Amino acid sequence: MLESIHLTKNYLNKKALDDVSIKLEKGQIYALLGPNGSGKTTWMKTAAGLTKPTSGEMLYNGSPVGIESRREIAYMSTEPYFFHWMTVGDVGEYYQDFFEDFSSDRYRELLTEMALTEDMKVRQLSSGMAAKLKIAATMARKASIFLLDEPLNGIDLIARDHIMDAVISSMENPVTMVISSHLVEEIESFASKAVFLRDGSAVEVCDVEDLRIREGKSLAYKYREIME
Amino acid sequence: MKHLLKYEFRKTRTVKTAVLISTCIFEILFLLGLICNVPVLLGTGTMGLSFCATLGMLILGLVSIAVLYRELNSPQSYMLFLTPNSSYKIIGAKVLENGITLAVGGICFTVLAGIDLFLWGVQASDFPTVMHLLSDMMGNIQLNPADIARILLVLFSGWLSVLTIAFFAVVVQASLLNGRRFGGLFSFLLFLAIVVGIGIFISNLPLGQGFLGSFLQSMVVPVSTGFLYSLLYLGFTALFYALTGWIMDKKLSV
Repeated sequence: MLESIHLTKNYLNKKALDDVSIKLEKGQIYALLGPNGSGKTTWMKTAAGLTKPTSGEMLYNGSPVGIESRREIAYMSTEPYFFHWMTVGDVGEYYQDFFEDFSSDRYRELLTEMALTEDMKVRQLSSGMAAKLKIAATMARKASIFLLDEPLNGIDLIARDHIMDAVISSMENPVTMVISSHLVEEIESFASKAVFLRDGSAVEVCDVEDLRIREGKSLAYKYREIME
Repeated sequence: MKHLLKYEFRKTRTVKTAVLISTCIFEILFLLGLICNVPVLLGTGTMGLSFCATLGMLILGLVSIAVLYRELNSPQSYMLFLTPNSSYKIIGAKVLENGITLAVGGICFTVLAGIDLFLWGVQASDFPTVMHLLSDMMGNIQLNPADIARILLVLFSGWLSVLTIAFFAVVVQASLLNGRRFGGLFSFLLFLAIVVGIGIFISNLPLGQGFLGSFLQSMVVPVSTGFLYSLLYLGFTALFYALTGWIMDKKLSV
């Protein structure tokens, strides 16, 4: 599975990740939690092979992430990233062209569920619709690992429900999922593990069920305890 | 690679369409001027076609550079680097797309120029006289198919090497500056520095006098030397393509 070993990432004047070692288990749903600037996005982008570590390693099935791991790891950025000249249909065609695990039928199903049509232009979508499109394109893949960076960011309640339905329905297969979010309460209902990042360091990895049963704490309570 | 190439062509489709439409408009003006014998239309058409052939190809190249710059300095880069393609393939598709555009554009404009010149001659005189006139013209300026091929090859390889150097400069700034301010200026200065450096290198070869000088000179030197220039430019293209791919692979974080 996916493992970061002493992962450090420095930018010109900032340390985004500092010696982060995390090992993901297969079939688990991880909540990646931390305040802004804690390193969640950098960790995910490194796992997706978009960002090169300064030191340390990010391994997928024992090998450094790269071209091969991109076939099995689906990453969804929090920012819109589709080419502005595309239509919703073009996005599906693009994913179909590049990802063997992409299902056009599943993509169309998700589009219907999210009230999107293939002739819609990407540049004309509202932020909520753009977020739905990212989810549809990403979740139409049959990837082994899904990395979803703030999928609910800036989305209204109804759109959130659609997005979470799409995410949950994609979990029928045994996949590993990492979801970063500020909305701790919303993620708590389906996350099985939680990773807490603060100032670029992994502070704690815990089992959500254990947290409730043994410590009698909710994920939100634990989050406040760690971050405050 | 074919899918990457498909989307590279798609990215510059609007500009290509604009160049094509402009060419068609000026061609129609040229033909109208020719048929109706209106010198103003003929002149406008000729001038416009010349601009389309030169500026059009230049603009297409510049747009490709701008597209790469935008992609590397925005989340659109994820569309490239999330796919299971190597950096060499990604940048290779861009170089190839420019090469194909340049080659097809160059051939089309050369053929169009030949046809227009021929029609102009036919309209001005009868066919045998035109052929004789063209033959005389060719003889006077000593232009033969080998010369035309050499000039086109030098233009093609020279411009492709310039574009590849520009891609290299853009990738270096993206790797070092990560989309910070003045990235464009940095790219441009780096590009200039490399071109000047290559110019100094070439000026020390027995082939010519600096990059631009040698580029111009390569079109008037004997055929064999012209082909040597082309090989040199293609060598620079290959070198900077490999360097760009390596930097993208090892250093670029998007």
